Amino acid sequence: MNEIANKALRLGIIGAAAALLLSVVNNFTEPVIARRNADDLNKALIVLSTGSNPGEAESHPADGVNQRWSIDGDKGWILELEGSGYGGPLTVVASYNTDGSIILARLMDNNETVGFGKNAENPDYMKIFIGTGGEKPVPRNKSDLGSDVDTVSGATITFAGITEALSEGSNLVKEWEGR
Amino acid sequence: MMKDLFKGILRENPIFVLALGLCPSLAVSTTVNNALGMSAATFIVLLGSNVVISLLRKQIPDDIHIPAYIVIIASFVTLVDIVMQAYFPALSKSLGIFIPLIVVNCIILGRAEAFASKNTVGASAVDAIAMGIGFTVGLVAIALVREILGAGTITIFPDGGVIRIPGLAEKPALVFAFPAGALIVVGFLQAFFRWMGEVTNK
Repeated sequence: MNEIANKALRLGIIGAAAALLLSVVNNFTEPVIARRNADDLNKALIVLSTGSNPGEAESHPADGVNQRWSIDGDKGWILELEGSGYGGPLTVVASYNTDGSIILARLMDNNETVGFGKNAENPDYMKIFIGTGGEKPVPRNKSDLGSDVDTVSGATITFAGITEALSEGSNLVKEWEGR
Repeated sequence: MMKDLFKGILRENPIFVLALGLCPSLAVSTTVNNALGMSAATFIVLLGSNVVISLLRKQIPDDIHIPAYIVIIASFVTLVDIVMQAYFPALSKSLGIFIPLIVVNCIILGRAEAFASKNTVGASAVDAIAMGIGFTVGLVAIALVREILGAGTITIFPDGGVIRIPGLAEKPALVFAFPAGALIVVGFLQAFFRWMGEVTNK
């Protein structure tokens, strides 16, 4: 009995020391990480609004949308959309015209695979979606992409997650604008 | 001493000779900068956990050594992960899930079991450094071959440190960017490193 208590105590002390060390470090790093994430979102917002001013953030306006901002009051919307990729949840921010067409989009938080799904963080990746969602539908599978299919090959599930989120956003914008 | 320090490169290279840590070797060796970042993170965790485990080797009873080692290794990995997220965001973003996965990297638990649990702190630190160098050399070698053949580039810094190889950059052999290509490269490099090891031993 004593021996078990002894082992448990030793393991407990190691665990407690580890927890203490990590909480001290986390105390320093957490505000830095939070500030950096907020900075990243702000930078993305400036790019996405293409020179206009995004309005105040409105949180959770619909299912699958974390936040939305109106662009200059009535020029369109910027949405922070939740999707699901190969490595779990991912976040896409996208700006839409009032007709639901995509102006620009960026992949934000994600756990996609380095060298494959992660490539979607590259701004060029989102070119395949720009202008779609209005009269032209958002490309939903690889055959809709034509010669752009190389951009997404090797990361089909990431593409599916992003396109799902973007087209959902487009539909919501159309709904809000009564189209 | 010097011989011990460099044993990780050829004689006991963790990837090619001990065949440890193959999962990250395949996963993050698509570009050279990822390989360097992963090597640095692994190096820090390896050094920290080897030293602490060696320090505590007489305090940790045999029955509970695996959970104790895992707690120590996981703490170092979490430490590296949050520090990287805070101060090296670009690297943290590009390595993503593979940083937390260092916890289950066989090199680290393997060295804790095989070396740090039986040797002095100094010797364990030297072992960690040697293995860290070996892992870095191996991982960078794989990444260099894969990136040159698979993408036609050498990425040292993602912003502005990309060398493009004319001819290959336009028409790369895509297979090397995929896991199958990684296995092919690891196989050839393994043969090469073992041959080198035999030649230098004679």
